[in-house]
Formats: sequence, structure tokens, C-alpha cells
Amino acid sequence: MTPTVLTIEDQDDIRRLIRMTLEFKGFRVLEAENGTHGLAMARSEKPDLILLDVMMPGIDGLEVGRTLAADSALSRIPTVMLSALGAGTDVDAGMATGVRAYLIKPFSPWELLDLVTELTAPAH
Amino acid sequence: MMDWHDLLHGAGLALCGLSLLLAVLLCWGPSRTLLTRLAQRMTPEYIHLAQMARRTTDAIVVTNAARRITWVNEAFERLTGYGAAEAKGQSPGRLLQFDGTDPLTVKRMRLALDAGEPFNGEVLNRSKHGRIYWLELKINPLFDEQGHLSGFMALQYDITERKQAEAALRGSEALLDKTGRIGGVGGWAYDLATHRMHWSNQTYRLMERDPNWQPTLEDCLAHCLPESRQTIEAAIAEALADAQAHVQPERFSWDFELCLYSATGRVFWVRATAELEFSDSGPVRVVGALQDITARRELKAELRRHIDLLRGAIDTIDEAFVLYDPDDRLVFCNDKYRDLYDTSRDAIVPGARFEDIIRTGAERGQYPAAIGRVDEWVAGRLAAHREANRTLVQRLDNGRVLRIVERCMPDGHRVGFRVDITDLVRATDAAERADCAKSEFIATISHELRTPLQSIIGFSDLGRHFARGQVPFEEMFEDIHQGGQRMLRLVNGLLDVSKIDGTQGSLALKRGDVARLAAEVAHELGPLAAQRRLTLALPEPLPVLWADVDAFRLQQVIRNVLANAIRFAPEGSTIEIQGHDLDRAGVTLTVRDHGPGIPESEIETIFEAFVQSSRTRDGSGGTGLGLTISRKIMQAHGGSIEASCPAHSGTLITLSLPPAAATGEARAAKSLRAVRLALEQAASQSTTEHADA
Repeated sequence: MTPTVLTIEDQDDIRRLIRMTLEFKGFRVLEAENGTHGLAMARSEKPDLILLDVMMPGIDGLEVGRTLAADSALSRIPTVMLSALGAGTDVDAGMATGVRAYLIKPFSPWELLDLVTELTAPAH
Repeated sequence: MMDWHDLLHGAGLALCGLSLLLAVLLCWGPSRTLLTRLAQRMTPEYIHLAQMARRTTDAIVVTNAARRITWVNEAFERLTGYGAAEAKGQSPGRLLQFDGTDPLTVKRMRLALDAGEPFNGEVLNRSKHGRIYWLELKINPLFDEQGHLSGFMALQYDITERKQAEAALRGSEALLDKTGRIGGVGGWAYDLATHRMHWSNQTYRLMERDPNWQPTLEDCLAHCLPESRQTIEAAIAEALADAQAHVQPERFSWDFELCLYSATGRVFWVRATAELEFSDSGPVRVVGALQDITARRELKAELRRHIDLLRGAIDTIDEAFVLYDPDDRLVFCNDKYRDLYDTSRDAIVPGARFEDIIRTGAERGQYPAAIGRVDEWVAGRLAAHREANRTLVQRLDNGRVLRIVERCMPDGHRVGFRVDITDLVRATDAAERADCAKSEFIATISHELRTPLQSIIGFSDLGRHFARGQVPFEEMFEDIHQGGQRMLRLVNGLLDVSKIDGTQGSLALKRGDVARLAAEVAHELGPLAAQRRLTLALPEPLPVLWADVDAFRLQQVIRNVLANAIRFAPEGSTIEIQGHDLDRAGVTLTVRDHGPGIPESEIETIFEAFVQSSRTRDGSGGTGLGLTISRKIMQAHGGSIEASCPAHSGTLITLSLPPAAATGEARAAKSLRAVRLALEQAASQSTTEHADA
């Protein structure tokens, strides 16, 4: 069964880059352009993995991450945080919300693909 | 007793007139017939006189013409200790005369007696028992009826006491004269009845006058310079007025400093003191002293000049200066000091205690740090002041910031300087704020740039993959990708510059082996070196160089240095890596290449952001931030990075690190050093910026 990945990201070009990268390897990609929409889709679609941008207008990635972690129905979905904020404190703050990984922008598409493949593998 | 003695003395003198008679009575001993005849003719009155002569208290001696003693009285026997029988036939001179008599007097006496003439003089005699005594001697020749010299009669008065008193007086006068000469003190006296002025020898010397010159009061005034003369005349007028007003005469006491001329025109200063002497009938004499104080006045004037010069210098300097005595009382301060502490200006007066001055200021709110806790603040400030070896920074109510330097002198005085560092503090604050804003700006920009870079790098990466085999597209995506990567390195470099602020707090230090860390980087860059057939030569065996390091950041420095060397070294050459343990001086790591080297003038500027050496600025891919970041990292370690050009060619980069800290104390000291370095750098940066502006 093809794993479904939900991308919550406000920038169109980044969303497109992610979609092209993942679809290239056969992933089903869903997209949300903000936190509120992303949370709604996560609840309705129950994706296999969520890619979550941190700096977004409205509800930011950290808030979304915390909400996902607090929701028993969603907390089991592995989430990867994507952010241009790469300092140790930023990474720590992101990981503290309960996400599985933190990827610093700009990341390599192949690196993302490896990570997504790993986190959606049946063993997980 | 006295009167009786005086009477006898007087009588004795009166008896001189009877000398002839006595000579007849006493000296003509051989002629018994005559004596008998005379005795028969003697009236009771003569007998009485003879008895008086015999018993008078003054010594009488009679000689014959050959000057041999023929008769002495009882007083002679008492005075000389010789009985009449012993004395008779002896020469008085040989019997009694002592060597101490003035030889001139002896000669004069001999001449007078040889000539049969009278002699008066003072001689020194010795008694039978050895007593030495002075005599006033009156010798008269005796003549017989035919007028021939028949002998001499001498009256002898013991004047020993008077001579001793005179000698004592001479002695004390000589002493007075000597002390006056030594001390430069001359004496004078003015007799109010006779209007005679008397000067001591020293006064004559001071005035350079002949000791025989007799000065008048007017002469004395003529020796004064006009101003001094006015002083004296005013004092005399006042004394006269006082006398007329019957003011207590005890008040009369002069003490002036006068300027005088000597007889030769020499100008000199004296301290003139005078007192009035009184008899029962009133004032009789003015007695005074003159002390030459010219040298002292010159010394004082010289001292005054020096003090004025010093004070002038202190007033001129731009820093506030203050001096407190060992009792902590203000001795002196300059105007700048009062100006700075304007709120407590009225309390800053000589003699005021330091504590009172600062308390006044604290109570008036002069020191913002003391508001609401005056006692506590005063106690703390006082402790620092007494310690006097600290440098404090003090903020004042007027917004000024002072650096206080206080030091204790060996004699207990405390010297204080206040340096107004307000402008410096403001500039530093502004520089810090600017630096902070700059860092924030760079951080923000870096993050903003990372998002578009994500598209550039990500799509070009996908693109070059999908375009594989389609030559123009593959190359285009490759170029975009490389461009994106270069831009990312630049962004990361900028972020590092803003993040590593040169202080130790920005790093996580742990004990590590610098040589091993270098070897790891060399290994990592091995393939890159191999592309240009370069040899990375590490010491064999590898030394162990312990230091407290942030391994990630230190490797970043080593990587940067090695990458530069690899980039610029001529193909096929060797890059030498050396490590040295300098014990207490820490450790060093050097990287030496044989590339184009760095011109002497650029050795420091290559560490500035976006600066590359003119010899290597060839678009070889550097961001121009590598060495700037490296220097910040080394400074944050408490170490340094220096570039130099060895004699032949190439570049030598030296990384220095302090030794691994064994204790927390040493760590703190190192931390302080790092902070200082950072401050110095900030200061130099702000200077550069100012210079640029």
C-alpha cells in the first residue's frame, strides 16, 4: 500500500519540491498551506507521515506539533519538522514537541526521501 | 659686715697718703735709736694708725730698695699663707708671682720699680698653700729724708672673685657671640633714656658695619627698605599710641619680617623681634633680635613655586584629582573634582572627612547606586577607599560615569583620580547595541535566505538527476546547484560570524587532544589534497596536545586553514602540520604551505570579514568569512590564530590555545582573558567603524 505523506508548509515552491521528490518514489502526497488546515487534514486523512514547517503564519509548526502529540488519535503518526532555524536551541525546541526528526533547510531531496522511506517502512 | 669691710677698704686706700710715715715707722728697723726716739714722740693717735695698718683687711707689704720684704701685715699673712718671719728677706715676685700674669704687666711693673716709680696693675699670685688668686696691686716707692729710694710699699687687694665674674661674663659673651654667629641671630638694645643703640657683634656682621661704629635709631631705620621702614614706623606709632592710652605694656612685643640693606648694599631678610624692658619707674629699654632668614625665605619661596607649579599642573589636567591625609581628611582637590561632584560641591572643602563628603552626596542622591541604601553604600564605598588599590566605576546623578583610581602613599595619604569615561561607556554601549543589532540582522537574513535556497538547491538537485544524460540541462542544473551550495556556505558563514561572538560562553569546551582533532581533519581532506597531488605531512609520532576545546568548532578552524592551504599550495608540494606542547604557555598547531604567501601588509586584514589576500583573490570559491570565523573561534577558546610569512615562501598559520585548565579558578581566569580579548576586539572594531565613518 502506498504510504501517504501530509506536507504542512506555507511556501508553494517548497510544497512543490517535496511533492515532486516524494511522488518520484511513489508516495501519495497531501498538502496543507497552513497549520489549521494541516491539523484538519491530519484528523480527516490519517496520513502515514507528516512533514511540518515551523515558521508559518497563524498557528506555527511548534504549536501544530504539540497539538498532534496531545491528540491520541494523531500522536502515533511520525512527524518530521522542517525549518530554516538550525541552531541547537531551535532543534531542541522542535524535538521537544514530540516530533521524530528535525530537518534543517535547505535539505537535500535525497536526504528527505531516505528519511521518509525509513519512517514509513513497515517496521515503523 | 659689708659696710665695715668697705670702710676698711676705703680707709686702706686713704692710708696710701700715709705711706711715707709708715715707711719711716716700719722700714727703718736697723736704726733703733731713731725708732726709740720716734716712739717716744709717738702720740697715741699714731699708735692707733699703726695698729690699723697692721690689722686692715687689705694686704700690705713693704720692701727695701733691693725689693726684699721687710714688713707684712696680718692680712698679707692670711692671703699668702706666709708668716711675717717666712716672708722677710724674700723677693715678693719670686715668692708669690704666678705664671698666668700678663707678661706685659710684669714687664711694666719691672720697668716702673727699676725707675723708682709707682705701679698699678693686676697680677696673678700663688699662696703658700697653692691657691691661685688675682690681686690688684698698688706699689708706691718710699724715699728717705734725703729723697733717696728707700723701698716700696705695696697694697694688695684680692680681686679673684671679680676676675672670675669678668671671665665668666666674657665667656658668656663669647658664647652669645658665637651662637649668634652660628644661628645668624644678632642682638640689639635701645636705651629709652639715653637714646643709645647697642648692637651685638653679629648685628654688626649682618649690617656689615665696623664694630666701632655707633648707630643711631635713624641709622637703623636707614638700613630698612622703604616697605620695611613703613612697617617699623607704623609699629612705633602704635606703641606710642598704646603708651598714651595706657594699654598694658606687656602687650608690647614685635615680630616682623623685614627687608634690610647692609652697609655694602646687600639686600637681605631678617626676622626682627623685640620686647620692652621695665624698671620700677617704667619702660627703660627695647631689646630685640635679628635673625637672617634670607635663605629660609628663598627656600620657602622655592617650595611655594614648586607647590604652585604642581597645583597648576593638577588643575590643568583633564582628570579630577583629590588628596586625602592619613586621617582621611581632604587636603586638596582640583576644580574638575568639584565640577564632577557638583551635587555635594559645598561639602568638598579642605579638612572635610571623606566619609562626610560621600555621605552628603549619597543623601542628596548624587550616586544612583546609593538611593534607598545610603548607609550600606557609604560603608562599601569607604571600605574600597580604605583599601585604596581598586579601580571602581561610579555612575553619578548627572549621567556621568567615572573610573575611580585610588592609591595609598607610603605615608598614609590617599591619592584619587576620577577619569570621566562617560563618552567611552556610551560608545561601548552603542557599539554593543550595534553589534547585537548586526548579529540579529545577519541571523534573520540568513534564515530568510535559507528558504529560497531550499528551492534552488532542492530543484537543481532533482533537475540534475532527471536531466542525466541530457548534456546542456544536466550542466545547467549542476551550475545552479553549485551556485546554491556556494550561497549556502556564505549564509552559514554569516550565521557563524554572528553566532560566535568571541566569548567563551558561545562554545562548549571539553578537554581534547588538539593533534588528534587535526589528524582527523587531515584525513577527511585527504582526497581533496590528493586531487592536487599534495602531501599533508603530520608529525610522526603524533604528539598529545591537551587543551579545553569545542571539538566541532576547533575542527572547523583546522578545516578552514587546511582547505586554504590545499587550495593555494602549488601542485605536488607538501603541507606541513606541526604540534607543540608549550607547557604553561599552552599548545600550538601550525600549518605551513609553500603557496604564494601573504604580503606583509595584509597579514592582519585577511582576518577581516570578506577580505581575501590579493594573491589568492581568484574566485577560488572562498566566502571570505573563513578566517574571520576562525579568529572568533580561537578567541572564544582564549587562544589566537596568527598568519606569518616564513623567510622563503608560503604561509605559516599558527593556532595557539591556552593550557587545559586544571581548576575552576584557572578556567575563570581564562574566561576573563577571553572576555578581555573580546572587549579589545570590540574596541578595535568600534575604532575601525569610527575611522570608516
